[in-house]
Amino acid sequence: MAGINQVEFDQVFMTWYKPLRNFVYYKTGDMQVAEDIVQDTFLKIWEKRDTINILTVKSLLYKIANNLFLNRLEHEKVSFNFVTEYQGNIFSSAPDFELEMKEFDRRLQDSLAELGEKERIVFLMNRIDDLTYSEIAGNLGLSVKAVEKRMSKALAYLKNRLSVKI
Amino acid sequence: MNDQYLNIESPERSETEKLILDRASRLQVPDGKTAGEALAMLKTRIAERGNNSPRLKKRDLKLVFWTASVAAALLVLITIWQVWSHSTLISVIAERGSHLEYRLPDGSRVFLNADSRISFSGRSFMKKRHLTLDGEGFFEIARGSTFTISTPNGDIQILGTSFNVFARDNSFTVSCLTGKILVSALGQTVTITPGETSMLSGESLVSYKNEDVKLSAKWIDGEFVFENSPVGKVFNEIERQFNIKFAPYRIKDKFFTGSFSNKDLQAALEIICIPLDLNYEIGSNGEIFITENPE
Repeated sequence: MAGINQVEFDQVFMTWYKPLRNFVYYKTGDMQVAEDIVQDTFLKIWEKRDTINILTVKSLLYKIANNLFLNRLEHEKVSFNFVTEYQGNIFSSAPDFELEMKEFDRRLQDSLAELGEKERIVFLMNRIDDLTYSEIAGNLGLSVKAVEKRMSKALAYLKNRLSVKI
Repeated sequence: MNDQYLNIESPERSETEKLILDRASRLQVPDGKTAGEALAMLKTRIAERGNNSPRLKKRDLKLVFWTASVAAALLVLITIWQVWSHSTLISVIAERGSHLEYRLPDGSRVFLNADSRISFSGRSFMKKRHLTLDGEGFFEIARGSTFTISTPNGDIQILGTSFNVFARDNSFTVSCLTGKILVSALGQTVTITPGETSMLSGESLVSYKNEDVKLSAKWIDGEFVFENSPVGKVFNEIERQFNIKFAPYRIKDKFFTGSFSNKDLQAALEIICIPLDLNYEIGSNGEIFITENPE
């Protein structure tokens, strides 16, 4: 049956807002831009709500967000400012180690910014949003095989950039 | 490698790979708006466009007036009936600055947060498990017939379970920890199961998966957890927990993520004010003054 009502729209919004915003953030590295794009995405869904099928709304969301991102005029160089969690108790006894981890995290973020966009999105959806390969495949309209491939490509790239002495 | 996750512990993974996978999973995207705030913003935008929002016609307004009049008359009747039939109305009140645990006649337990009250009929409670709540409470419902809670903002029907209800001002949020709950408000109904939260968003009752559902009941242990909450809401909770008042303050929109304990007012104020660049001062009459640090 076509069309979603307002309650369904709100549910779709509450369910998909965060994953979708993260998805755009992984593309842009700019939270403000990500929030704007996701707002516009849902506005489009709202305008077309009478013709939208609730079963396919998820992949539509990702497609619209992707298009809005591509249509933006300025594409600035991507850089990330993720927040990192340090387990205070463990690290406080080893300040050197904490410093080393901070340095590692900084290099990790820089390398993520250089990584190809496709690989980066898949990698971060898996690591940060805790999505399974099949969930990622479903969201992005890919095969699970393709997700696996991007994942190992991402890991190989990062490994190459971040070889550390332990 | 399985479909689910990369196996970090797999023996053939190198140390570097393990480190990358582990550190990457600890990254968090920077704070942004919560989904609820973003939805409210979108609704404002939609309303501003105007073309899609149904408008009340004059005729409708007349109808609204008559309906309201009849409703008002009914309300008076109902109140009289309630005063008569609830002559044994029992009210349990947690005053500002205090929490309370109460066992209902059927064995169900209620934890009331500060500045909250429940009331029920001592005469008919065992026949029809029904109570009204104003404020915030955590419930552990004993097995038995359907249990109903009415709040000014919506109703909840429970089938044996534990859950948190926040019904203050315009907010109505129900988080389910165990069991299954039927929530209704404004003529809409949703069923929520463990790990889900239902809330009133504007005119509609929505439900969504909430990873932090357990945090909603943290207040029972005296810990108050906020994720990207407008600072005004956080100060309101401080007022209720410590039974104090803030002097009227003028500060920019700020959002607080973190928690405070109800054991120590000074510590709670510091936890909120320092990260948000605010100053506080406790006046001689106990009133608290909030100012913004100059840029």
